[in-house]
Amino acid sequence: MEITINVQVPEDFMSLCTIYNIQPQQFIQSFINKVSFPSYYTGTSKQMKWATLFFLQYVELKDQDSDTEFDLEDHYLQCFTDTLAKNMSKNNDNGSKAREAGREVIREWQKAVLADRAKYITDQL
Amino acid sequence: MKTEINYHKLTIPLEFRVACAVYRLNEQELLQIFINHATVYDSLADQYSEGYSEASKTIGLYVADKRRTANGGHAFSHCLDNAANCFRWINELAEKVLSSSVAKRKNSLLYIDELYNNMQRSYTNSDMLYLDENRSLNFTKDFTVLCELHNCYPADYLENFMSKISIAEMQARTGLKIPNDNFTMAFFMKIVLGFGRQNTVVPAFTDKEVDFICEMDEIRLRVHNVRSLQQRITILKEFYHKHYQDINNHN
Repeated sequence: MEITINVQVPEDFMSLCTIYNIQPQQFIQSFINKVSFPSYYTGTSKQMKWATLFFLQYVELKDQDSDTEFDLEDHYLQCFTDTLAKNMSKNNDNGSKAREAGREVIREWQKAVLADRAKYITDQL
Repeated sequence: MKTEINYHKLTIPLEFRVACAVYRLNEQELLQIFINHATVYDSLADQYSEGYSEASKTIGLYVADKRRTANGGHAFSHCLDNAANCFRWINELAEKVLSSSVAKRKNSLLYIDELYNNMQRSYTNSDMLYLDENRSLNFTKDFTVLCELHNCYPADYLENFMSKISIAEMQARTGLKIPNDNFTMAFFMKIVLGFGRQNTVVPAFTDKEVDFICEMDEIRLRVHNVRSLQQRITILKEFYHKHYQDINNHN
C-alpha cells in the first residue's frame, strides 16, 4: 500500500542525510520496514530490533488518555503472545511460521479496533 | 526440640539485594536512611515531609496490618501516665498548624528523650544491630521508641521495609498503567536519586554495566506484549536476578 505523508524535515536530519548521501524517503522506508511485532517478538535479527523498540517507546510515552482500546489490546496481545509461543515450539524454522501466525492475529486485532471505532455510527442505525 | 527464632538477626530478601545491586546502593546505608527517617512525630503528623513521612508511614501501615495498638506497649506499662502524656504532647505538636515540620520534629525530641530514658526495653536490647562482622546499623531514639511502643522487634520493621522493595514489581505496574500506591518504593527511588545519601558520586560504569543498562531499557519495552501483571513481574524478576548473579560471580 502506498500513501502520501507530509512531514517537517528538521535541520539535523537533513544535514545528516546530505552528509551521508541518504535519500530521506529511503531512510524512512527502511525504518518503517522494520517496525514489526511479529518480527521483533520472534527475535530473528539483532539489527531489526531498534525500530520496533522506538515504536514501543513511543507507545509508552503516548498520552494515557489517548484513544487506544486497552481491552482489545490486552486480549489480542495475549493471543498474539500465545500464538507465537505455540508456533515457535512446534516448528523449527527460525520462526517464519510463527511470524505469519502472529501477523494473522494482528490483522484480527486491527479489524476489531476498526469495528470498535465505527460502533458509534452503526449503533445509531 | 525447641527452635528459637533469633530476633536480632536480619533476613535480607533477595529482591531487596537485587534492587540495591542494580542501583549500586549500599544495603546498610539504605537501611540506615530508613531508620533515621522513621519518627514518632511523623507517624502522627498529616503534613508531608519528604522521606520522613514515607519511612514513618511504612511502619504505621505495618503495625496497623498487625493490629498492634499503641496502648499495649509493654515497655511503658510501669510509667503509663507519663508515657501517655509524652505521646499526647507529640501529637499536639503534630496537629499544630503553625511552625515548620523541622522545628516541630526537633521539639518532639524532648519527649522522645523522656520516653527513651524511662521505658523498660524488651524488644530492643541494644541501639545497634549487626548485619555481619563489618556492618552495623544504629538505631535512633525515635526508632527504638517506635519498636517498644508497638511491641515490635527492629528486625520486624526493617524486614517489612525491605519486603516492599522490588524493581520488577514497580516496573510491571508502571508498564501496565496499574495505579501504584507503594510509597515505600517511592521512598527507595528517592534514595536512588540521592536523597539522604552521603556520597552521590556515581563511579564509572564498566562495559558490562553499560550493556546491562541498555538491556534494562529494552526489556522494559519488550514486555509490552505480556499483559498479565504476575507474568510481567516474573519475567522482570528473572532478568534482574540474572544480573545480580552475574555481578556476584564476577566479584
